[in-house]
Amino acid sequence: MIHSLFIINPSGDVFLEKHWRSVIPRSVCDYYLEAQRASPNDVPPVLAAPHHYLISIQRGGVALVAVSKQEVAPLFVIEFLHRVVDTFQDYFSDCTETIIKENYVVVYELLDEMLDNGFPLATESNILKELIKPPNILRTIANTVTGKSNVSSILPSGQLSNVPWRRSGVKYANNEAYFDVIEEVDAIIDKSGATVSAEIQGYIDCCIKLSGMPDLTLTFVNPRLFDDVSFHPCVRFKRWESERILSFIPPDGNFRLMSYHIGSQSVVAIPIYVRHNLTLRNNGDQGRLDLTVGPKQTMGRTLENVALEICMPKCVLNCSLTANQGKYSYDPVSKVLLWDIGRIELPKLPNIRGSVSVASGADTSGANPSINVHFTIPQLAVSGLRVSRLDMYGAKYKPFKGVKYVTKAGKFHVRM
Amino acid sequence: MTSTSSYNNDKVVQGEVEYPASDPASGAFFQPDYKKNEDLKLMLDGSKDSLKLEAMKRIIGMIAKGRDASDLFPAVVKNVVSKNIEVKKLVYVYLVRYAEEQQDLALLSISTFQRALKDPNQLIRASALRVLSSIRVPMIVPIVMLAIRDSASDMSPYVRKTAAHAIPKLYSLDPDQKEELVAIIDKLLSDKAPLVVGSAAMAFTEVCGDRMSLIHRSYRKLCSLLADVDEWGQLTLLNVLTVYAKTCFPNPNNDSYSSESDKPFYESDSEGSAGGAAGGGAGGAGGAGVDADLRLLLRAAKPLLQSRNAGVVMAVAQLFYHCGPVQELQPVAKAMVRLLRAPIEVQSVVLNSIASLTVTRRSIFEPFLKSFFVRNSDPTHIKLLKLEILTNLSTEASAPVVLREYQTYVTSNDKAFVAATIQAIGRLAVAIHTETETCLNGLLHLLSSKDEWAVCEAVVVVKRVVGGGAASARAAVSRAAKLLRSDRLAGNARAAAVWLVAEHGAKHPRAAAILAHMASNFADQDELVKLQLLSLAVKLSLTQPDTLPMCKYVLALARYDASYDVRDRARMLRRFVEPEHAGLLSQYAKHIFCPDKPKPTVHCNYKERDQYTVGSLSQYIGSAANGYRPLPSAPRETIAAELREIAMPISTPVVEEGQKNKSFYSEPDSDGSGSSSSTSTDSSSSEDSSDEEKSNDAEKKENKPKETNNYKSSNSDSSDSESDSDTSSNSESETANSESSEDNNKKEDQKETPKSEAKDKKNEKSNLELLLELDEVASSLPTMTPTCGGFLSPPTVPPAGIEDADGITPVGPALAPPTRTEVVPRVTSRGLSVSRRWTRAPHLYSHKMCAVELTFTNHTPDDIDNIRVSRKTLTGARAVHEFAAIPRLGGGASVTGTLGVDFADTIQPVEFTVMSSLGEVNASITPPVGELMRAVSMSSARWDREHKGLRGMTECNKQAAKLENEQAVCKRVFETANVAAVTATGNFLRFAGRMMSSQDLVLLSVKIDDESCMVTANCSNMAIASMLANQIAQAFARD
Repeated sequence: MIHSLFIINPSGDVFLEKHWRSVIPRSVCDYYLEAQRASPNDVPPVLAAPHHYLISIQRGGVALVAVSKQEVAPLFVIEFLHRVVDTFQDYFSDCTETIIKENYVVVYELLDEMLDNGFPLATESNILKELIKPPNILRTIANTVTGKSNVSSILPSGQLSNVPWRRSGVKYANNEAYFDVIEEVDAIIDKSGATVSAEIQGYIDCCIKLSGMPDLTLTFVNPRLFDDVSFHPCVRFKRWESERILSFIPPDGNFRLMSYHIGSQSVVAIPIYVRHNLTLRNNGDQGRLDLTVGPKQTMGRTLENVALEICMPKCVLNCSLTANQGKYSYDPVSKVLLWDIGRIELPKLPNIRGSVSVASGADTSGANPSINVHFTIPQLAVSGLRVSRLDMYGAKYKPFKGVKYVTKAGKFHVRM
Repeated sequence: MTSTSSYNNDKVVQGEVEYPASDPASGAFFQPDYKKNEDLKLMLDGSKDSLKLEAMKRIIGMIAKGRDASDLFPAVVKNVVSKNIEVKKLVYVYLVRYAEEQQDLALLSISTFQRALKDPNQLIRASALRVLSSIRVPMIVPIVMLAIRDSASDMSPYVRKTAAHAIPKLYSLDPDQKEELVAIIDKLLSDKAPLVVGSAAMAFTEVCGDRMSLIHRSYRKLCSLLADVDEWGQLTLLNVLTVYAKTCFPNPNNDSYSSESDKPFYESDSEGSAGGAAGGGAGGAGGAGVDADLRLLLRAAKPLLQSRNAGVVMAVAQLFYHCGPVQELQPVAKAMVRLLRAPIEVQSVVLNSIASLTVTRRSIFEPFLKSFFVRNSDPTHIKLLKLEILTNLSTEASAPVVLREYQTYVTSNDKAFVAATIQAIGRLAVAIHTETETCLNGLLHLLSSKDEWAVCEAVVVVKRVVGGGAASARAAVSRAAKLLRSDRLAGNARAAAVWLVAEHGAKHPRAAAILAHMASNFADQDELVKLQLLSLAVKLSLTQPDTLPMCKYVLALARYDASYDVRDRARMLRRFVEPEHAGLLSQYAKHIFCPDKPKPTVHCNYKERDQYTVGSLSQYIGSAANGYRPLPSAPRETIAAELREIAMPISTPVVEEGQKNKSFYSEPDSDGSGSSSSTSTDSSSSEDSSDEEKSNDAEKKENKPKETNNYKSSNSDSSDSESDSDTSSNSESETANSESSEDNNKKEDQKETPKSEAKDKKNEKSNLELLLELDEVASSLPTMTPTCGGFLSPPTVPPAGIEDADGITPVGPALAPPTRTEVVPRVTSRGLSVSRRWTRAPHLYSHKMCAVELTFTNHTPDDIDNIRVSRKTLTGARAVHEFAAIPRLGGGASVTGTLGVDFADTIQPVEFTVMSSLGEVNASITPPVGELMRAVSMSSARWDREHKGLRGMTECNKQAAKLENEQAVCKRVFETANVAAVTATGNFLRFAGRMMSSQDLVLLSVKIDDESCMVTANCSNMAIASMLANQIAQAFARD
C-alpha cells in the first residue's frame, strides 16, 4: 500500500509530504528526480529504488510520487493518485502548486481522510465534501463569525448506505438534469490520406441537480453501437446487460456517467481531411509547405475550433507562410507550427502556403512530421448515437432535462 | 520565564490575532524561526479555540513542508482534549506523525482515545481507533489490541471497517500478536457489510495472505458481495480471491490449450467460439471443466470489467488470465484495450501487462491490432511497449500491415524508437517465414539510409536474421560489401558487416576485394573489427585459396597489434594457415570455420515477465518486488469443496429463497452434505456459534436475487421497520444498542478482568500503571458503551461445552420463521400494538438468551414517547435483557427492538410491562418449546452414538400424519423447532439441537413409514422431549 506521498513541483522541490506509516526521508524522491532529469516527458510510472518503489503521476504541472515498501498493484496506486488530483480539482477547482500551498490544511485533512495506513478509506467526493467542507469565501466568513469549522463531526450518511456516491437530503429549487454526449475521434491518417486506424471514444458527462433520491433511466435509440463500456459505480449493470438501458441513482452534481469505445472494427466517419505538401530541399534552399483543410462526412454540420499542429523536422529554421484564414505561429525552439483556423465556412477552404527555411547542409531525408488535428463539431455525435428518453422514478417533481452532443478530435494524427 | 516577558509575548500573540486571515502560504510562516515556535506554544496554551486552530494550521504547514515540529509536542498533545473538532483533527494528524519520536509524552493522550472509543457517535469512535492504532508506540499494544477486538464487533460497520484497517498497523508494530489478529480477521471476513469486507481482505493480505483456510467459509459470501464493495475493496478482494482460486481449483484449461503460443492457427477457431460463449452470456456452456465455485467467482467478477477504475479491471484480468478458462479471455482483452485511453501512467502499466500476455495468449489481442499503432505524440517508453506488442501480435496475415507501419516508424525522430523498430523488423523476419524476404529487403534498404544510427542498428539486425543462412544472404552480403567499401559504418556495425561477409560471402567474388580494402588500413580499425577481419581472412583462405597471401599479410599485421586479444587470435589462427604447422588442425579447418549453423532464436523481452502475476508491480519492473508472493500452482483436484459449503445452512428446499437463480446453491448440496460437512469440520471447528450464524444469515441474504446497487436494503443504521427479512440482519446491531445503564456496571466489572489480564502480560513499565489508572478513570465515566455487548458475546468468551472437540458444531438456524404474533393488541394499550417474532439469532448479551424481536406499531396519529420495558416478573434463573428505550415513535410508524430472554429451559411465560407515554400495559411471552434450543450439526455416526445414550426414560415417541416427502418433513420440523438436519434424506431423518440454558443435547428423528411418520425426541430433560415430540406431531397434522 502507499507508505508516503510527496508532491513535487516542476523545478524538483518537494513542497508537500505526508506519511501514513513511519516516516520515509524525502531523499527517496531523488530517484524520481533523476529519472525526470534524464527524460522529462518520459518518466516510467513505476521506479524501483533499492528499498522502495516509487509510483508517480504527473498532472497540472505537479508530480505526485507515492512510495511503497512492498509489492502493490501499480494501477491501484496510480488510480488512487489520479483520484486525489480529481478531488483537489473538485475542491479548489484546479490542482497547481500555488493552490495546494494555499490550502495545505484542507489538503492535509483530505489526504488524512482518503487514506488510512495507506489504504483508501473514503474517496467518494460526496462523502468527503460532507466530512470536510470545500473552502469558499462565504463559508470562511461565516466560520470566522460563528466559530464553526470546516470539519464535520458526524459520519456522512452516504458512507454507510448502498449509495455512497449520493448524499441524502439534497434540495434544489430548479430540478435539472443535463447530459453531454462527447465523442472523440482518434485516428491515424497516412500520407496518402487513407485511414490507418480510427476509433471513437465517447463519454456521457452529467450535471444532475435533482432533489431527493431520484432513480433515473436513460434509454438510447441505438445501444448496439457500443463496443465496450465502463460505468460510474451507480449504474446497475444487470439492467444494462439485460435491457441495454442505463438505470441509476445519480450522484449529486457533475460526474461521468459512462464512457464507451467504438473500436477499430466498426467503420468510423472521418469528418475532416488535410491535403498537405511539404518539400524540404537538400541544398539549404527554401522548402515549400502547402496545406489545405476541408470538411468530409460531417453530416451537414460545420467544423469549429479547427487547429493544426505540426512538429517540424529539426532542420527547419523558420517558416514564412500566408494563410487565407486564421493565424499561424512557429516556435523555432520546439519546432512546432501552429495554425489556428477556427470555423470552416464552405465553400472557402482554409489554405496556408509559403516557404520554410532549412538549415544548410542538414539531412532532410526521412523526416516525416505528423499533423495533430483539433476540431469540434457541435450538435453531432459522429457515431450516430442518440439518447431516446430519460425517465425518472422515486420523485414527484418534473425535472428539466437536456442532452447535448458534441464531437471532438481526440488523438487525430495525419502523417506527412 | 518572568512575568514581564510572558506579558510581552502575550502582546505579540495579540498582535498576531489582528491578522489571522493573513495568507498562511506566504512563506513567512515556514521560516525556521525559533521565536515563531515560541509563539505557537503560547497560542496553543491559550484558551481561545481560534488561536489554537491558527497555531495548529501553521504546525501542519510545517509538517507538510517536512520541517521538524517535534519540539512542540508537549504543547500540542495537551489539546487532544479540545472540544473544537477541527483542532482535534489537526492534533491527531500531528500526533500520528510525531508519537513515535516522543513515546512517553504520547502516552498522555491515550486515555482520551480510550474514552472516545466509547462515544455514541460512530465517527468519533472510528477516528479514535484510527489514531490510537496509528500511534506507533510499542507500549500501547495491549490497549490497541483490546480496542480492535472491541471495535471488530461494534454495531457500526464503519467502526468495524476501521478495526480492519487497524489490524495491519498493530501487526507491523508487534508481529507477536499475529494469532490473535488472525482470529479477528477471520471474524471480519465473515462480516456481511460490504463496507467491512474490502478492508478485511486488505488486513488479510497484509497479515496472513497465505492462510487460505480462512477464506473457505466465507468464499461464497465474498463472491456475492464483490459487486457491492467499494472499488478499492474490490481490487484487494479480487487479488485475494485470485490467489484463493489458484490454490483451490484445478486449472480449467485442458492441456490442449496450454501450448497455444506454438500454434497460431488453431487460435482463430477457439477465438470464434470464445466470442460466441461470451456473447451468449452465462458462459455456463463454455466452461465444462470449471468448478461450480470458481464459476461463481468468475461470474461475479466479470461485470467489474466495466468498472471505471483501471485497477479493478486489471485485477479481473489477472483473475481470468490465471484462473479462468482461456475461452473467456476475449472480453478481458477488450476491457484492457479500453484502458489505453486512460492517462499515460495507466497506459504504461496496461501495455506492459499486455506485452507479456501477448507472449502466451496472442489470439485474444489480435482483433485489436490497430489499437496498438504508435502515435508520434506517445512518450518513448509507450512507443516501445506498443512496438513490442505489435511484434508479438503479428501473424502471417497481419504482418504486411505491421510492416507498413514499421516503415513509417523507422523515419521517426526518436532514435531509441527507430532502433527498436529495426530490432522488431528483425524479429518479424525470423518469426514469420513468409515475410522474411520482405523484412530483409527493408533492412537492407535501411543499410543505405543516411542516418548512421539506423544503419548501424540495421546491420546488427541483419546479422542476426541472416545468421543461419537465409535465402537472401547473398544480397545482404553485396549490400554490406558496398557499405564497407564506402567506409560509412562505425564500430559495431562495421564488425557486423565484416562478420556477415565472412559468414555468408566466403564464396562471394567481392569478399577478397573487401578484405584487401580493409587490410590496407588494418591498424586504424576497431578491435572488434580486427578480430572479425582475422576470421574473414582465414575463411577466405580456405574457400578461395588464392587469397592465402593476403591472409598471411593480415595475420602478420595482427601479430604486432597493440591489443593482446588480436595478437592471441592471430597466433591461434596462424596454425590453420601456415603449412609448416599443418597437422590435424588444417585438415579439419573447413569443419571448424565453415560448419552449418543452427538458426538463431528470437527472444522476446517480456517472456520472462510472464512468471509474475499479471498487473503486479513485480511484473512491471521485471523482478520480484519486496513482499511479492508468486501465485501457487493449481492443484489437480478441487480442494476443500466441502469446507466452502459448511457455512451454508443445510438448505433443503424449505428455505423459500433457496430456489432462486443460483443453481449451485440448492438441492444437490443438501443430500448428505450434512454428514460430509460435519466430518470435515475439524480444521475449522473452532468457530463459535454467533460467527457461524452470522455468516449463515449473510449467505441466506445473498441467495436472494438482488441488483448490484439496490440501495434499499442493509443500511443497518436506518433500520426500517417494514421489511421482515432485513430485520433479522439488523437485530444484531440493535441488541448491541439496547444496553441499559443499569447493566453497565455489571459489564464493566466483567470487562475489567480480561482487560487487565491482557495488560498483565506487559506490565513491566511504570508508565503502564499510569495508563491503567487512566483507563479506569475512563471506564468509570458514565458513557454509553454500545460495544461491550460484543465484548461479552461468544466470540471472545466461548461458553464451556458449546463446542465439543468431537464434532458438534453450532450452526445457523435452518429457517427463521417470519410469523409474528401479537403480544399486546392495539386495543388494550390505546393504540400501541406490540408483536413478536423469533429471530433464532443468538442474542449478543448472552448465549443463553433467545432473541425475540418486538415490533412496536403506533396506530394513533400522535407520537408516542419513551417506549421501554419495565417491571419484569421473573422467577428462577430466568433473565431478560431489554432493548434501549425508544425515544419517540411517530404516528402510524413502527419500530423494532430486540429483547434477550433467558427462559431457563422452561415454557413458563415471561411477563413484563411496556411503558410508554400512553401508560403501562402488561405483556407476556410464552416460548414454544422449539425456540428454547439452538441448532447444532454433527455427523450421523455421532448422532447415533448420542442417541444410544438417551434411550429409555428420556425418549418420547409420537405417531404423526404422513407427509408427501422428506422436504415437507424438514420444512415442518424447522418451522416448529430450531434444530439442524443431520440427515435430510431417506426414510430416517435425524435432527439435532441444544438447549439454550442447560446445553443439553436434543435429538429428534422422524421415521417415515408407509402410512404414517414416527416422531422421536430424545433429551435428558424429559419434559422437553415429550413436548417437542407432541408439537412436531401437531405440526405434521396441521395443513
